[in-house]
Amino acid sequence: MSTLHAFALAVGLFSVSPPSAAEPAEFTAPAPDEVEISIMKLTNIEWWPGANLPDWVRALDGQRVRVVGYMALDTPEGASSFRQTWDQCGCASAKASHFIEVALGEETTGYNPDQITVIGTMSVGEKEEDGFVTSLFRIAAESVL
Amino acid sequence: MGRRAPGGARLATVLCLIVAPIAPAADVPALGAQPASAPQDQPAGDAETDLERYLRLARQGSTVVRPQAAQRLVGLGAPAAERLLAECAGSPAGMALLGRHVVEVLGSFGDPRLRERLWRALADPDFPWRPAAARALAAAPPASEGAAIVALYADPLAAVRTAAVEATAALERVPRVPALRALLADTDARVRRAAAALLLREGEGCASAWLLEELRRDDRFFEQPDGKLARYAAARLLATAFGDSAGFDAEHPLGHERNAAAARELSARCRAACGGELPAVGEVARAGGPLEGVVIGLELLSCRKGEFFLRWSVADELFVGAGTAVRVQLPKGTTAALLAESTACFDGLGERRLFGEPGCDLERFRLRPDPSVRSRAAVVSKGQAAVEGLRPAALSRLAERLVATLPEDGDDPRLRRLRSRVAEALAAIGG
Repeated sequence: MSTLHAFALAVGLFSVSPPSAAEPAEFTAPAPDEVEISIMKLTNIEWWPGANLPDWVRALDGQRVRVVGYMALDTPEGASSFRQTWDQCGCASAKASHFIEVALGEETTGYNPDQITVIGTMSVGEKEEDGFVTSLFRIAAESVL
Repeated sequence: MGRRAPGGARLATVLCLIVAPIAPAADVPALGAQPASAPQDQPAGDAETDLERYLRLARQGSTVVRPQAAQRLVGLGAPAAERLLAECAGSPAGMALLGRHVVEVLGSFGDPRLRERLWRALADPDFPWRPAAARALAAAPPASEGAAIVALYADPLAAVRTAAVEATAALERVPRVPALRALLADTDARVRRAAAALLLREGEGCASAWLLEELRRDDRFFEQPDGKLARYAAARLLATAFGDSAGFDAEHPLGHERNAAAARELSARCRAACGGELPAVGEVARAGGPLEGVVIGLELLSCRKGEFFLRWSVADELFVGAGTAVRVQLPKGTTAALLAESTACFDGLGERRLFGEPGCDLERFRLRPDPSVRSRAAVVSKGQAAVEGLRPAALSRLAERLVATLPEDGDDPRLRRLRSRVAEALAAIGG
């Protein structure tokens, strides 16, 4: 399986009903055990390396979450992770607090320009590589709709 | 305009809030092809200095590392400045090779030679990082640049105009020019917000009306919640001016029941800052909501040719612009014909949705024949260099059909030379 589409299909995600005409897809109801997060609220927190995160953000660590957003344009074909952003290209989301890094596990994807919903387990906190903060918010994805 | 708003913002804070945390969409960065988690260290040998490493990562690192590496170059001071001057090779073309994130920090070195290079690059309409160069010049500008900064208020790129306001805010003495107040009628909300925040900081409390209006927005571009973005940005600016945002929840517009108390308090504060009733913000700045029946969209984001937001509805309406768009009635049957073309085009594209490489300029074609479901998009994205035949033939045909429905002129500034400007932008992006 080499695409996100196949990933979603494999875990039966296309059984989810489409949204009603009155409500855009963003507002489909979450499952009872999911915490729905506004990506814009999350990525609007004030943060700099070493800063304390707000309590409500730290409380998301380990939670099963549902986040509606977009895949960043820099997602290469065959990627096993991508940046989820509030806008349609992630063009303004280079700061670590401006995106969620979504890990697909064994699956891979290429760029998808449509709105997506990510469901998975959230982890929060600075992740560093080679002295640079590479992410602040991460989701181990169960599904991407 | 009235009295100074309480809790007048400090310059650095205002600048920070204007540009962060959500930067203007106009300046599409050179996004790398590496995922955010890609290893940062390429084989470079033990001899690689910090300067070399940061320069390499600022140009070629992952998207999230580039701006951090660029900032570390600034921390290296004069040696880095000398190296970057050499890299610029005395021409905008040389500076362009530094990439967006390095260009964006060049003004932070405090080196007049780099500032001179930035101004030269900004004067070149084909320089790919004009918004970044303008933002770089907002770092501690000398008073002698005041007139040149004000001249940028008329720049065709909204991102440059916004940066010019940021640069104005950073001047030791903000020029009292009508041109700044005129930006409250700018067609781009980012420019209006930046101008309103600066005017408010400078004691023109009635400018708060433009920020208050942004809190009322609930518009979307298809699914993308542009109105919500505007609410977050405006709420931050008002909080800077007033000390807090009175409990305003930016997840909902000001008119939402959850914001009833905040609406009363913020309105009262703005009126007090103005010294009386708030002025009318004008048609272009008035908050709007979602549009009904929109089925086709075309967004063009170009660092060279500007931005265009176009939507076609089932009622044969054309909407031009983001936020409160200007509406143009098209001949009956126009959208139906376009819809047939668009559907055939998207079907012909198959699974492929991205053409080109992540870069500075992009075209996004959007199709939503059934307004009850999410739209589909196809993206043409151009890196720094022009690519022959970047846009597939099917999308080129669709682009031609869409452009043919555009008016060439109209009373609203967004309609002036619209067809020609859109055609030029398409030519600059997809060829």
